[in-house]
Amino acid sequence: MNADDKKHVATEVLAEISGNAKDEIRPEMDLVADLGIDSPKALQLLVALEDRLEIEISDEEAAKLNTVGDIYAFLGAA
Amino acid sequence: MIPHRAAVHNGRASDLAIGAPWSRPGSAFAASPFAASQWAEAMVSWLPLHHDMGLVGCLFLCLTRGLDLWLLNPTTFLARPKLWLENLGRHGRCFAPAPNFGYQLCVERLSPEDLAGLDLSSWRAAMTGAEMVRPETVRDFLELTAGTGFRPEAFRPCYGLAEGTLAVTFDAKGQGLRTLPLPAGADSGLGLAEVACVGEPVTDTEVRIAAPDGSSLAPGKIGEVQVRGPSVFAGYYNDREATADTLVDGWLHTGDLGFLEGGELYLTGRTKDVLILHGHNLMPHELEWLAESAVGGGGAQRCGAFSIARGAAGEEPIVVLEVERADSETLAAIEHDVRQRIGRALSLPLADVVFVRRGKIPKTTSGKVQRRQLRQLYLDGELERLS
Repeated sequence: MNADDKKHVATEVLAEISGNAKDEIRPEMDLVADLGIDSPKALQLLVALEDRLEIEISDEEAAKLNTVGDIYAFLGAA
Repeated sequence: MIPHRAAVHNGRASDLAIGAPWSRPGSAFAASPFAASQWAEAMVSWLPLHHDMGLVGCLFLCLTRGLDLWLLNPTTFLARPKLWLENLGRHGRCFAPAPNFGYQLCVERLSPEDLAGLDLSSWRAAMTGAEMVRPETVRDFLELTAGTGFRPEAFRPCYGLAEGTLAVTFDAKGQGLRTLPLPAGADSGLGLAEVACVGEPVTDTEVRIAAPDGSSLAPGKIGEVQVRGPSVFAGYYNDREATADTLVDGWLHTGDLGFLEGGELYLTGRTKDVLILHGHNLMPHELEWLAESAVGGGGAQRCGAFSIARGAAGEEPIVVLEVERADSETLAAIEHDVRQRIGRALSLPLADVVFVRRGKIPKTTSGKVQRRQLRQLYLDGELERLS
């Protein structure tokens, strides 16, 4: 899976969990402030990303993910 | 401070309350100190052990009653709630307590197909407490688990608080969820159409409903829930002032509002400013300091935080901020900053951010924000919002 595909999956997961449409998800959006992702939903997000992309995200890495752009950047580098 | 005798008493009280329905009337079974092990073998919990329900309701009870305790990491439960239910179907006759939030999370994340093949018929008691019991959550959970053999009467609403060691009232009838219509005078900001019965006082324990002047109220009348008995705590550690406010002539003033009907308790709200989110208590100033830091603080308090519930998802936080007149662009920027600060620090999305003119947040003469009054103004639509 290339970086674009991963980004696409991440956008899909974010839309699903936040209840927003896919084309409303923007890189500058804050996960909590703009997308309403509270701590239970944040865990749901991590698990969904791990399962669908077959990756592992450590607690340290997860703690640095504040925005949609942070997730894209992390997946691009992963 | 919980005296050892209070911890022992509360364990025994819980025993009697949970064990009674499985014993013959008048038999000594329920009073036996090992009663619990005769009707259950294990407890399956994801509650953190620093939570009173996790520490007293799970760890202490299992240690003293000889039950196996299958403990899930709270984070694991939040990530994969199905694991909790899977384990409940795997360890024989068991019980599990959780705040409403835990059942609601299962309802939101899982479908009946996810639970295919799961047998929950051995789940003897599903205690629900530590926050408002929401009838719609209980019903949705029963619908979710309809194919698993989970029995509706396994639901055991209860009421307790750390200052009472844990259990204060317990549904001892074992008939599952019972409700009454929301009475006049109940908090309209909790999103409830009906109130759940949380049962009768546990053994040796008295519950009374008090008016603001301290007098006891008749059945059906809403007032502060007060508790007296051997499980009541000895006071707050190194805090005489808070202890004197909370423990008066042996009566624990819980700060919760409710009424008694047929000797059983129904909760309708609370007098304290605490926010209860996902079964976890949060003090409003934690939000207020973060919100004020976005507008530069500046001495006088200019922010009030409280929570309301609109539906089954439970309580959500709302922040009201006083600002100088500002254009909508500036306000939008401040709102985003406030949401981001609170989001980063507490992982908490705000249900609403309200801007009002200076002086519009009700305060006491000494300048303290009157949060309950502010919340009522919000609920009644009487806050003049700047936008």
